Amino acid sequence: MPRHHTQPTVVPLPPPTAALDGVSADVARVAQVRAGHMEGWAELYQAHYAAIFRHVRYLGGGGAPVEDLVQEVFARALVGLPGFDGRSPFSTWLHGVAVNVVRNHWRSRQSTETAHQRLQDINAVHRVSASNEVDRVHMHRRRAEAVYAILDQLPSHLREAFVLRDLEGFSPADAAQQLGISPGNLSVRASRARERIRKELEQLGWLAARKEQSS
Amino acid sequence: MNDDPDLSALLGDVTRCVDEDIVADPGCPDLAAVMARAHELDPQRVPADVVAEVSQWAPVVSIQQGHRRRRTRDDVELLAVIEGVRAHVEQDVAARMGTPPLETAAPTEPPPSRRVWVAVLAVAAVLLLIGAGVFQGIRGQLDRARASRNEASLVGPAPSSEPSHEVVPARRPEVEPEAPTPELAPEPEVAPPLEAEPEPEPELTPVRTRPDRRTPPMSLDELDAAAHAAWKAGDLVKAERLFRQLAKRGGSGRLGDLAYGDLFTLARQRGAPAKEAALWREYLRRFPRGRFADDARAGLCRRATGDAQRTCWQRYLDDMPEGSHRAQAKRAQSKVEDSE
Repeated sequence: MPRHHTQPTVVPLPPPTAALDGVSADVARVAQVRAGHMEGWAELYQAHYAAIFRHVRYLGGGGAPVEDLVQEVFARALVGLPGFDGRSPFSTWLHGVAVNVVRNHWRSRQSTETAHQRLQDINAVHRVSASNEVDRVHMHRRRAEAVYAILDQLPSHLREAFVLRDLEGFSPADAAQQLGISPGNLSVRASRARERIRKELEQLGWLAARKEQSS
Repeated sequence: MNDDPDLSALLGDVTRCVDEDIVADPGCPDLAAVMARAHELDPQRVPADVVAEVSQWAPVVSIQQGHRRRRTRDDVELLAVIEGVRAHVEQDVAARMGTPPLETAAPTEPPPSRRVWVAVLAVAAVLLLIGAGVFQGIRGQLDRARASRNEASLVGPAPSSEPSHEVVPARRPEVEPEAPTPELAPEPEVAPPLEAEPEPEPELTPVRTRPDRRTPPMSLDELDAAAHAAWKAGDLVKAERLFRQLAKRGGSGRLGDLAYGDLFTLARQRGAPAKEAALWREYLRRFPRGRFADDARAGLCRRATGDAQRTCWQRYLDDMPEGSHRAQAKRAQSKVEDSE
């Protein structure tokens, strides 16, 4: 196992990455890290922090300790960097690491009863305040919480597909790559998740029931 | 992606809320903490001397890039709105300085997308900060702070001088990794967080308008709607005045509570950190358990210094052990313990 220790007299520092495009710069930075130069990791951290923060926030929902999870993502990515084979962009690989970290987080806090209760609580607030215009901003927030509470009840593979596709807006290819599944599978999962979420939202009164489409 | 317009609209609210949260709290990078955690995970791959080396570098990474946005339609809309906000700021600055405004694109009508308005408020806050900064001669300081921070980016050892105000000191490697500090910072493009802005701050334009006693007073709902309309139209002074009225007339009820939330945002948007802190204090006197009490208390703790800050965070932890900012509070406490 290579030792990540700066030894510039032994391993020459790779060229600066500032002039390279994003993907190429990442490749160069990864090479730096593999050569034992942590400056490369610092640059990768700087370059990808915001995107990973956003990704984790979307995946984890409002109750997640986002900064802890982001820290965990970068720590695990550094430790697991030898596993990065360069077949996909570093960014995609890193997003995949984030998916795993958040998945573990979900798993650790998984409690269907709790999730269900949370959903009921949110809905109770909704019913009290939905008619008041003053509360529209807060109602939007309640809606967001309701959606995340529903997501809390979904199986992880549906939840992740839905978040990546419908909330974060990743392309099917990108989302599938992050989850390590085919784009077709991703689309199916996202579609199923969407159906479940819609049904739940209808039952809770957040959405009107869809009219039957005539064939 | 989704042929269900009702669901799409609802999900638009969701993404708007999440984006809003991200803009309000974009996180606080802490590479030293990452390294410490990586060492904990695999001491062989990330040995202690590497952790120690990195911890000597600048502890905070400046996040220059904005959050990745994938919705190009929104980007176009957003740019249009940003131009409008920028024009407003330039006019505001010019009005204060008595000079003609800089040439900017004409303000545009807000686009229909609701998601855009989330970003708009944040951008408006950013731009107004900058605009007010010009008026007060702060911009130069901001630039210097930005330059200072860029110099401290993680490409080599940190300068030996004391870290600038906005730089959070690195945590020592032997410290248990903990969540980095959330900062109520504006958009990443802005160099220093508000907390780091030097005093004195730009004074808000005094409100001189007196209510017209010949007209019947607006209902609370009408007042709220008028305040939001003024805000949306960019008339921050009027919006603040109306929210003030709402806070007063709303008493200790929900409307009064909610009005303060808007006043906080307005104060931030207008680049008035001291005003914001004063509002927090006022709010906590009226709503010690209000819906914004958690954030208000944390905000005050961030502004405090030295022993006062330590005491503030300790009280926060005592009163709100499950508070949203407990990670930062604990980190602040552990820093003190480390230094002792």
